[in-house]
Amino acid sequence: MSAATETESKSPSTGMRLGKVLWDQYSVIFAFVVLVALAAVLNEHFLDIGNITNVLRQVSIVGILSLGMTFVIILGGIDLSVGSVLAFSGTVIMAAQVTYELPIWLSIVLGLVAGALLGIINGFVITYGKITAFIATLAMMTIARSLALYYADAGAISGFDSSYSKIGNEYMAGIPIPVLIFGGIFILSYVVLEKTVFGRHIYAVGGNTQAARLSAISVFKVTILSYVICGITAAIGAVIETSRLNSISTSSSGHMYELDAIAAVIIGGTSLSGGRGRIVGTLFGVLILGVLSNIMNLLNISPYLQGVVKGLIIIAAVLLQKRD
Amino acid sequence: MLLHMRGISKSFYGVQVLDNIDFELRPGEVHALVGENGAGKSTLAKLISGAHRPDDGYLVVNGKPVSLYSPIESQRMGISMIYQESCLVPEMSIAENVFLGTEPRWLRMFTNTVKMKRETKRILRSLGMPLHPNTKVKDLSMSERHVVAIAKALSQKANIFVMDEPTASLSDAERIRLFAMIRGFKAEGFGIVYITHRLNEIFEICDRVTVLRDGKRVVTCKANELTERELVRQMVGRELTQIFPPLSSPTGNELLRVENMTRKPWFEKIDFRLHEGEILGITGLVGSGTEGLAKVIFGEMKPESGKVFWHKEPIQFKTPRQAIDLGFGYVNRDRIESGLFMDMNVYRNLTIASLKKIHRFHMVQESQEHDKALDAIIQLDIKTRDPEQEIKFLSGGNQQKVMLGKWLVAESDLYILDEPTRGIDVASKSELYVLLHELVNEGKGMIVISSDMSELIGLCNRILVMHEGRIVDEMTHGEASQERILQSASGIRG
Repeated sequence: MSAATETESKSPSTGMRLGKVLWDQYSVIFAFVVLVALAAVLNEHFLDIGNITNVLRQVSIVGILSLGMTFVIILGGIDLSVGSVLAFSGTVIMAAQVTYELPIWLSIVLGLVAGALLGIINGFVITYGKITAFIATLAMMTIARSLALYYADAGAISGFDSSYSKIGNEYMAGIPIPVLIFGGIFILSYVVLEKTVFGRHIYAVGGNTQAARLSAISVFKVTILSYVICGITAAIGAVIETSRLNSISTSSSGHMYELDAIAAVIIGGTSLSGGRGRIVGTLFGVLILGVLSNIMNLLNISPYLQGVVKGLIIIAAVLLQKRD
Repeated sequence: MLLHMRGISKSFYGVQVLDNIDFELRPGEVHALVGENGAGKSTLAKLISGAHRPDDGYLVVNGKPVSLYSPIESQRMGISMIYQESCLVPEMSIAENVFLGTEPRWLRMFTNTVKMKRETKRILRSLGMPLHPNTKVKDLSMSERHVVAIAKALSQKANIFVMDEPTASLSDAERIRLFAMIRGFKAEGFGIVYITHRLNEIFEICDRVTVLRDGKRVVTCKANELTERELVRQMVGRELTQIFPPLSSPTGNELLRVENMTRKPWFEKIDFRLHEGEILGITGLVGSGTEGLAKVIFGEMKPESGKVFWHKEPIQFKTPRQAIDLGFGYVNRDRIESGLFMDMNVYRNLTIASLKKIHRFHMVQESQEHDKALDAIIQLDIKTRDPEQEIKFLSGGNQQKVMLGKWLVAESDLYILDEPTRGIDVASKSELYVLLHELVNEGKGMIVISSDMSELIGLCNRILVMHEGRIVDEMTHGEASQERILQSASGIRG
């Protein structure tokens, strides 16, 4: 230990190192603060409570998907199917309510089970079939969407029970319920990923699968569970999406959500090669994307051009986080 | 003068790794660079190869000052680096790797594959390793990959070679061939910077030695002016009296018994016993099956037939997890590919196999985790800036200690160590040997697979020698000698 303290005292600039550590861990938060400051300067209505609430509600669905996505990306995988799984689960929920006239709670449970089930299938194909996550979930993306389209003949299923739309539209303690759900799942994800044995195992499998196997970790179990979590978050997204409109559109619901979720995770500093990343980063990645599109709307920038800014932000985020 | 360095300094993240280093290399010279783990050898080598740029000082290569410090520049200037962990593209063939970036062409556009293969074949033959140039690198063993890396350096017609632990994964026969090759280089006026932990090699092959300690140059002198003892003293900065602790005789009960175990093509009909408090050495040349044996015992590979008994109870497992649950710990030889989690900090690497014991309701008990990890850090004297430091910033030897530490934390009863001291300096080796003895004195069992014969002779109660997948010789500590091991391993004896 003596040598360790020796190098400690020899090092010239503890402050600089601390700065580097802070930057590595929290650069996304700095970026977020800068962006918010910029937004507040550019438009006086940005900081209105109404607008902030609006931003948070808009990001909550993709935000929840991003949290699940963080699990599988840290695991070293990816899930391209979340948008389609959302549509599939949404179809299950609405069909349960409309066609089978089941109680709302049961329809939600069935939706979540559907999401979990598709997650299990993803996990099995990846572990047992030894198919890379990109391919396996790409296949699931087309399959889940196709099933939803077939069931509703590419149309929408609309509900009749207005009490269901409370979830997506009402407030609790002045906060929209979707935002509360997003917050709750964020805290849950944080605890699971950062504090539990399972979370530690996800980092291990993503960092070095072979070493994980040799350290008594069941790679199989960890992988399956991670994709199940991702599937469930997609299904929770489906609950909010369907209740907001009391309807599911099998062709457009969840369309391209997977890309927004992946973008948020990457902006949040999680490495696509696995083993490295933070759920807090994902939260701020989601918020950055949300604030960005909000401020562009406030400034009347054409929605067709907004993708350019989003793309540039993704590149900038990754460049900023690059280490030497 | 081939290579001339003056006042070189370099720091990483505020830690001074090299401090005002002078170094030179003459034509026809093999210049050894030695020092403990973390002394700065590898960093200096990377400066020479252009992978790092110095904060201060300058470098002159073949009479020309280096300005850009890029790997391409240094390669053009005649420097070729043979890294400790070779950088080859596994999916490419040997020939493609050897000529990567310097492919011979025709019509300036197309690679001349015929010439590439012919040249590769010639170089490999001159190295005494007649591999087929079309073989993919991923299908090669570690030592074969090393030879390919050397062949690559040769193909680039360099006159300055930097070799970082070139013999670490070589068998004795391969090592002898390498030395013959190095002597050929010397005769042609080439210079070689030779980084090693194996001190006897310095006296065998090197002309001059430069000793680094804590990033500073301690001494540069002719190799024959130093004794091994003096050299160690210079490296460590204090007198190191004995390397191996005295052996105690194992009196314990049978811990592990392997009966008639076969796993082709690695080995067949293996029988041995291990007792509590015993260190059993297993050795053999590359390809003799020792690595496969370790994998089978640990459950990483399934045997075709045979039985394993643990405390006289028959056991059977399909995965390493079951082996770990029984109390097995396995330090494999490839710490980067399958040993460590490079993105995790030291704490987490140490406790990753023991989280089952330190959780409550699946939550990791962090204070308990830190206590256990800190115990291992202190016991193994792991040199880390702080326990939260990511393991990739530790030197190779300290990383190796963390691999062992993982099983200390897991309180394993059987340690399977595959080349445990690869890339570790003398002082750390000595500490490690003492530690291994402490463990067996507590009644643990230990299987040490090693190609370092002096290590086995000094460390083990018994040594098994394998040749072509079979155990051909067994000797006690008293009977063991380098000659006998070598004869048995090469199949001359018995």
